[in-house]
Amino acid sequence: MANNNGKREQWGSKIGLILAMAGNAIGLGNFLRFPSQAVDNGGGAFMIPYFVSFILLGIPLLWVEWGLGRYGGERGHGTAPGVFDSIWKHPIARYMGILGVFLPLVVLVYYTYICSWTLAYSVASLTHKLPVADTLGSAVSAKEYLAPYASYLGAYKGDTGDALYYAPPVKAYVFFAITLILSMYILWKGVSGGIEKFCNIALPAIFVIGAVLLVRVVTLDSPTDPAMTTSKAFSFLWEPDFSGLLSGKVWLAAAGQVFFTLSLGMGAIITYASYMKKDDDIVASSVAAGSLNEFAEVIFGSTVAIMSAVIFFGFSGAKEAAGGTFQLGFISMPAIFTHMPAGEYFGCLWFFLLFLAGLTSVVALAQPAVAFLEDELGFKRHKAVITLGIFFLVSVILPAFIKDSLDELDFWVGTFALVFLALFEIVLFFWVFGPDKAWDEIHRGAKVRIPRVFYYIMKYVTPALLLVILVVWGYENLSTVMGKTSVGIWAARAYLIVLLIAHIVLVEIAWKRRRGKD
Amino acid sequence: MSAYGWIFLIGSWGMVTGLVAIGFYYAFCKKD
Repeated sequence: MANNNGKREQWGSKIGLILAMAGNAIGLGNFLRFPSQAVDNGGGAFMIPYFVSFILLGIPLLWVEWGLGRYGGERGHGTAPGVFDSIWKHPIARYMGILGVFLPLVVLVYYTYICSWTLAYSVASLTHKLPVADTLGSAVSAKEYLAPYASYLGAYKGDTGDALYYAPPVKAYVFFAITLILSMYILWKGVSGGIEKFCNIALPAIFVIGAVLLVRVVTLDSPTDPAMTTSKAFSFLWEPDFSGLLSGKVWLAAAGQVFFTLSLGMGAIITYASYMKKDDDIVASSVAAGSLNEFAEVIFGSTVAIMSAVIFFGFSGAKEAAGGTFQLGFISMPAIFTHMPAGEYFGCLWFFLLFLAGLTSVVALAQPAVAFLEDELGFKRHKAVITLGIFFLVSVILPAFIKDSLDELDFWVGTFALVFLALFEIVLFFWVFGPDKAWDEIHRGAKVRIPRVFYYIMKYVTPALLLVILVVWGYENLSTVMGKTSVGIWAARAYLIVLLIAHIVLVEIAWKRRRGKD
Repeated sequence: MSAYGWIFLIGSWGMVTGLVAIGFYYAFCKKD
């Protein structure tokens, strides 16, 4: 990103870079997706494949994406089309690089909308607007107990029972507008003056709020079962089920979670890394940022959401309460907080934590588009941010108003394509650029050497694992997803195709412009 | 919770905390 004086921006400090990168990774997935994945896949035993995947996929891909970004940034490119082109002068490189702008932009469209829900729920919790159901003991099941909260979420989304459309209430527009304006303001202020300053405040706040909620949850008494101790509640998630280690499904779920939580294959890490200085350390800084994300996920994410669900609903009810991101985040957690002593304040804190985590990811997802407009099309920063804001206002119509479109967008860009782009990145860096050059590039400016075994892991093991994940996911999901049809699904597919074509045209314009300059 | 459960919990929490410490040590404290 060039600032308004035409010079490319840089991070102001090393801690600012690490916190911004951690903010990119820490999002709703840490606090909602991880707990439900862990519970569904064997509890404690899930953590073994999870950590193995973190070592074999997560950390190597962090080094690759940081390395690619810094390399491209030195050459004036902050997004994947330009970064890939600076490594391999072949049209395939820049066309594949389009995914590094396209994917975060599409994710941004629905992620920002969901992020605005968390702010709305935070305010609703504080102002006692969330429903208060009967006491748990009088309900037949967790499902019955949670019904008013499911209705509340349905009403917030504007689900009137129509098969095609949502009709969100005015408050949904208001909270979306606040979220959009805040994120655009942060981007407007630039990389160092906006994103870095915001993350320097938001990340410590996330960790303080996470610690407060953790202490509250481990000291909770169960309203229904006096025998439910903290130790017993911990066992729900951490008691190992070793049969899970032999299950391909568990290994895939663990690898997938590592992938999503670290924001790999998205293009956002490349863009953030492009604002590093020439000899800024990659080796340790990327581990610090990635580990902060793991800390938030494994310690706060697992404890706050799951333990409180177990304490309130017992083992059988918690399975239902934690079944899926939206179920856990926007139905079960509000129910828990409304029945906790001083729950309105803890609920407000919980949803505000989600909002901060979501907003740090929103600006990271938006930055590749801003950087592309600036670096490749010569836009000034403010013009680029306004352009993005207008695009955004038009695009959010799809997930906010048209049913089924959000899940369809998420399948294509939030799962499948990420692995595809990550595979291309590591092949490009370690096979086309060259393993020794890539290894040296990652080590430039580092105070510590990566153990040599990772050279072979990054060259052979990580690409092979990515290929396996891609093939198995494709085999398991493609026929099912392609078989689904509805107006919302086809609207989402049409949107993706039109947007992808628009990206291809923009890249062609950018490269023509560059040839004209040469 | 069984002993295995506690080992998993303490091991997992210890590992992520240790990784944060190692990352920050080499990023900020170690001299060239």
